Amino acid sequence: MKKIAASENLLKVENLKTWFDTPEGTVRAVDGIDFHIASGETLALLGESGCGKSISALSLLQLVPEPAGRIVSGQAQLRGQDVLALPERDMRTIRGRRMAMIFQEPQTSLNPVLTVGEQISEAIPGGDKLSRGQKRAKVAELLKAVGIADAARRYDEYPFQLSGGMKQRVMIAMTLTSEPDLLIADEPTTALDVTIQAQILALLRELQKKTGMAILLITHDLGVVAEMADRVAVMYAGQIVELAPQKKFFSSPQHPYSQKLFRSIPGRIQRGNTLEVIRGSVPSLNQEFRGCRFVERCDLAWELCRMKLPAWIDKAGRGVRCHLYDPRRPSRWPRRSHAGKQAGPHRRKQARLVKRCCRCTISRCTSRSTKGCLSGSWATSKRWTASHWILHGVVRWRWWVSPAAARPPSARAYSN
Amino acid sequence: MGESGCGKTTVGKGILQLIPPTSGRVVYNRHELTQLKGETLRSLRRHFQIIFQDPYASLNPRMLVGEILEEGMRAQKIGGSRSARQARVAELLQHVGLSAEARSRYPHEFSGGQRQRISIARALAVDPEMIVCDEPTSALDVSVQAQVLNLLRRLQDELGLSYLFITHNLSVVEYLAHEVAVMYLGRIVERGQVDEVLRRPKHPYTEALLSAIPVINPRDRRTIIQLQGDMPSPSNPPSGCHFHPRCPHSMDICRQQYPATERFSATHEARCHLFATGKNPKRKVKS
Repeated sequence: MKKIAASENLLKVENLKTWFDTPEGTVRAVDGIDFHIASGETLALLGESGCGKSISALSLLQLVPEPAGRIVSGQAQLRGQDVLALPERDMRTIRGRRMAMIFQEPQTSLNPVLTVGEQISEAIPGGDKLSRGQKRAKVAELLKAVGIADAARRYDEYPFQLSGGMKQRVMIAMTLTSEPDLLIADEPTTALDVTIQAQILALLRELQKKTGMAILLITHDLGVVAEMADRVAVMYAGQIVELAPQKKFFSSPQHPYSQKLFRSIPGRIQRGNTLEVIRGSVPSLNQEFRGCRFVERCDLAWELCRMKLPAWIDKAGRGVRCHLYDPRRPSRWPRRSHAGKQAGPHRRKQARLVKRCCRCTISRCTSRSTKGCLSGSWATSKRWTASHWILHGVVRWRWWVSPAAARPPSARAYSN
Repeated sequence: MGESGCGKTTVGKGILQLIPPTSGRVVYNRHELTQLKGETLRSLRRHFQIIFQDPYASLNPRMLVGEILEEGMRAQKIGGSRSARQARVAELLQHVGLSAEARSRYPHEFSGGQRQRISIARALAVDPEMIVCDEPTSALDVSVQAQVLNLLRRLQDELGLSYLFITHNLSVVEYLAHEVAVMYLGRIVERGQVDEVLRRPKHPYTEALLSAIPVINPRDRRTIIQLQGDMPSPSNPPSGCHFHPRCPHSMDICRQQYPATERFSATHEARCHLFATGKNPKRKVKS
């Protein structure tokens, strides 16, 4: 029974937190992420720079730069064994053996003063016991496996003699020395040209098919995710905000951040039009968040998003961290942020309604502040519930069909 | 557009006379730039500006943003008095979506997207007619890239600027470009209107390049034409057509002769032997 469970999940990461102590305070680079990878599967970790993708990967290998960084909590079960709890000596049997990693810049991750052959043979487990000829043969075989022609000659070449794509192939060959269960590929093609990128991605897919290894692919490129991944985890400001099978993610992204990401990609269709942008910038991570991390940039945000951390909502194999998908929310709240749909029945009646506060025109608005409803307010009728609040001088509206309780229970506590 | 090392940036710098060309002419308003020197060239320089790829490396960290923007105006002796220049700086900053108080801060205080805005403001400071944009968004995240592209497009509409936009990013080309030229190993292999080149590519390299770009929409997915090997070194280019060692359709003539220009429409042209008059071997090769 236990064995079946183990083979389902090659790696299971739970509540991983990696923080950095800096003069500006504690930076919560990775702040509680959970995911799992099965054998032979590719999970893409998608996110913008500084969202904690790479630090998550380094944490798994216990390679976080110390003493500034520390793994605060979490577990990473590799076939049932918690690798985060292992001492350095045991970690060495895992790192590069069962979990291997390739990096973004092959230029800087190869040793410039060793030949390609020496570097690869260094990584062969039990390589010290092999004779020179055996090592050479083994390295030639690996180089051939990653598609490097003329492997015998390349053995004696230095990294500077190779092109970027070749160097990345050498890096992959190094990871293959011990047939890892999990390959962590940290932006493996970002520094490469598209035609070379296509070669490397094809190589990774082919090797995965052959060896059955799992790949944790870290990238910021939606295109690469579409080509490679079985499942996608979207990271934002140190947390995974959405996790879904690739096809579902691309056909219907759920988290407002993912949706925005798709809409901000330029293309033929948008030519001549203004691209949608995600306003503002990523919040600094040296703070403790009380609400959703995306709230300042989200078009669908409302009061609750500022006040309460969104829970992880798991449904039918995909999960999202957003109040919008909370089953406890009112059934029809809220609609998409299209201006036309946003205006509810209150807007239409607006002319007849009496002003209660400076900009509020809802009939039974509970706020009477003349300076504006800074924290938002509620109004209800038999059929409709509406809320508005003023943010940066702009009135934002939400309305929905009144549920039985007239107000969402979680929101009641915060109104006014 | 083209891959790294194909000479895109060198073309941009060659036009601006930042690299002296080995041969050839660059003509601007009947001035032949390659023949000009010293003060004459400098005064013409205000008409073309450049925005660099890396916003972290292209702004002097020891100068205030205001000084950075003023420097060009001072060098070109335009912008009038000191106070007029400073008013212009404030106006420029607002134009690119930064607040006027940014002028008394240093570049390191800004994020990548904001720095790229400063670079754009610096280029605009001398009222140029053309801006060479050397991969201005490739160091930026997607969401920030959208902001910078919006800005560039708006400025083009408002100021009537011409852009020579150097990039390897297909979606940016599709969004912004009117015309596109594809480079390979120092030469333009195909050029035309953006729809002609991207929708109906003729040159085998363009086809391979477009197919290799990962696409997001599954309906746009095409079979990837895998090119073998890497781009050869421009110091020792292959004989004949530079692309023949990697070309899936290469013929004998490709090894001997650089192909002549073949026209497909008034604007669309490519350099490939496959389309030489009277021949249509492409179909044969594919079968």
